[in-house]
Parts: sequence; structure tokens; C-alpha cells
Amino acid sequence: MAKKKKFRVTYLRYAFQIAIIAILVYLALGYGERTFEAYCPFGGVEALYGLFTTKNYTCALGEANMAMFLGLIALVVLSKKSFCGWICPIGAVSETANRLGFRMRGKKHWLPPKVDKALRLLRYPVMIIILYYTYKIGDLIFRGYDPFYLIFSGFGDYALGIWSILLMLFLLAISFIISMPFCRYFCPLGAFQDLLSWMGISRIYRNKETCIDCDLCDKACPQLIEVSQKDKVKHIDCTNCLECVEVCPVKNCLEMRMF
Amino acid sequence: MIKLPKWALPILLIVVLVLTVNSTGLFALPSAEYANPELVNNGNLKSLEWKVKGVKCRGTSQFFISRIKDSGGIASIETYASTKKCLIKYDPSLTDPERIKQLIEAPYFHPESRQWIEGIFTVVD
Repeated sequence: MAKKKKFRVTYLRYAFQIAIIAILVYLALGYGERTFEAYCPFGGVEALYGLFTTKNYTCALGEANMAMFLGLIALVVLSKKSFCGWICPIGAVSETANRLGFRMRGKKHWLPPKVDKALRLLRYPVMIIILYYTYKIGDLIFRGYDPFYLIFSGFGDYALGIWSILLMLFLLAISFIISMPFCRYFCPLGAFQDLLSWMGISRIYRNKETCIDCDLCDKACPQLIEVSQKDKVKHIDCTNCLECVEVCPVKNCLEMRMF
Repeated sequence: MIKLPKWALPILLIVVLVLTVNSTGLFALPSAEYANPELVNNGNLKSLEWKVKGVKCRGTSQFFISRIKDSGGIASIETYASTKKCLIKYDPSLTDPERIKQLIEAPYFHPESRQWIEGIFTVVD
């Protein structure tokens, strides 16, 4: 009798990421009602000041940014940073690059944990600087440094020429040797989600009675969380990507639970 | 604690995404707007809803308004940069859609470069 194939939720996640990238390319080519930029939830954060002070959206921001921002808040509360692991195209590209780097060089991450931990704090000043200048100037002046804008606009009108190209090449290159560097060190949307991520009501639980300490879950985690050391994964960087659940060889040892 | 099956998260994501995209209209606000107090309460106004290429942010929306608001017969203008949609109300006894379209698409004299620039705004549909 043929063995029943196991349903792999991570394949579904990759399909999700590919579908989102395809939709964004479609919008970037000008086929949709709005441009791809309209669907960035960080645009909603950037729009808040303008909405409260002048009751208008700043620069090119609009209602879709605001809807995505509120949707993002709902998602973070329900399922931590699942937006990053399942929807964000930058996360998908970065994770794929790191996976390729791992296949080529056999190592996923080349930074010592202490340096990594310190670098993770960088995203907070990045978020504060971006919001401060966006609120002060009333323009999206950081588009030339934004991988989302640069990739989907094809280094469009607001790219900073060679500087934007060098920045993207740098981010792509280091993604091969450092796990998701933009997401973990520089992403302002990730920093914003940290405010709520700790309260995400769906999270991964580890059954320490059945755990065989194989550490496969630690190796699988794109966010470098030591899942094997935790009873429940409360870490603010957890994206609920379920890579740890998929790779766990013991049935029901790692599982997702609500509340 | 409720144990969640593996497919619960993808379902949740799809539901949130669909609700989010469908609720977009609830947050619509004009990028820029103008109302002529002398005309806006006129009962005989007609409306135009055009998608205008070139209206891409608040700044270009304000520039768009400045190009046509004083042309005579324009009662109100609202622009929505994210969809490039422009709503124009006008008095048909003073102006007409063809004239408004001509004003929108007319070349613009750029004072710094001292050159006429074509195609800053184009009515798409």
C-alpha cells in the first residue's frame, strides 16, 4: 500500500509567498487599481501623524496603507509576526538567499550571538529616524533605501542611483551568510510589530516530556530562536513560519496553540 | 489552550487579508481638495470622475488642483492619489468636460528651467 504523503504546511507558506510576489509584480506593472506601494502596512504607520494633524494622507500614502496597517495589527495580536513569515516579499527573498547560502557553505549564520543580539536593536533607531523625518518633512524620503520600493519599482523614480543599487547588492550578499539581515536588523515594520508581538495569542509550544533534544528546530528557525530551550515560543521575532514544527521528528512535540 | 491544526494559520491569514483588502474603502480620504464657495451650493452642477496619470501624491494633487481651479466654472475638486482618481464638479453653464480636459493636459511652463513641459497630467479614463 502506498504511504500517505504528509501535508507540509511549509510548502503552503512558500506558495503563499510566491503568490504575494506575483500580485505585487502585477501591481508594479500598473495593472491594478493601486500601485504596489499602496499595500505596504508601514505606510499606515507613516500616515498616522498626517491623519491626526491635517486629516490627510502624507505624500503617496492612502487608504490601502491604512487598511493594511490595521490588518497587520490584527494579525500580530492573533499570530505574532506571521506577516513577516508568510506575506512580506522581502522576508521571502532574504530567507531564500540564506537557504541558498546554507546549501553552498553549510552554515546559516556567521555572526556571534552577542553581536547578533546587539544588531537586532538597530531596527528601533531605524524606525524612529524614518518616522521622525517622514512626519517632519511630510514626504516619503527614504524610498531610495527601501528594498520593497527598489525591487518592485525596478529602481524607480526615487532610487538614489548607484547608492540604491549598492545597498541592494549589499543586503542580498549578506543574506547568504547572515540569516535575514534586513528583517532582523533594519526593518522598521518589524520594529513596530515588536510592540505587539509579545502578546500574540497563537504560538508554538514544546512538549519537554517528548522532546529528544535533537536541536533540529533550532537549526530550522530562520529567526535563529532556540526553540529547543523553550516551553513556549514567546520570542518577539517568531513569525510562526512553522519550520520548527515541520522539521520536528517527534509527533506532537512541537505544536501551535492558541491562548 | 486550544491546539491549532497546521492549516489554521494559512486560513487565518487569508481571512485577514480578504477582510483588509475589502475594507480599504472605509479609510478613503482625498489627497487634496478644493471647493469654490460661490459655486459649490449651485444645484445645477455636473460631475466628472477621471483617472489622471500624474496625480501620484499629495504634492502633485495640489498642483493638479492649482491648474484648473481658477479656470472658471469649477465648483469642487477631490483627488485620490493612491488610485489617481479625480472627482470634479463643474457648472455646465460656465465650462465643459472638453475644456477641463484641455486645461489638465496643457503643457506647463517650468519657471526654473524656462521650458514648456508636456504630459505632466494625462486623463486616462
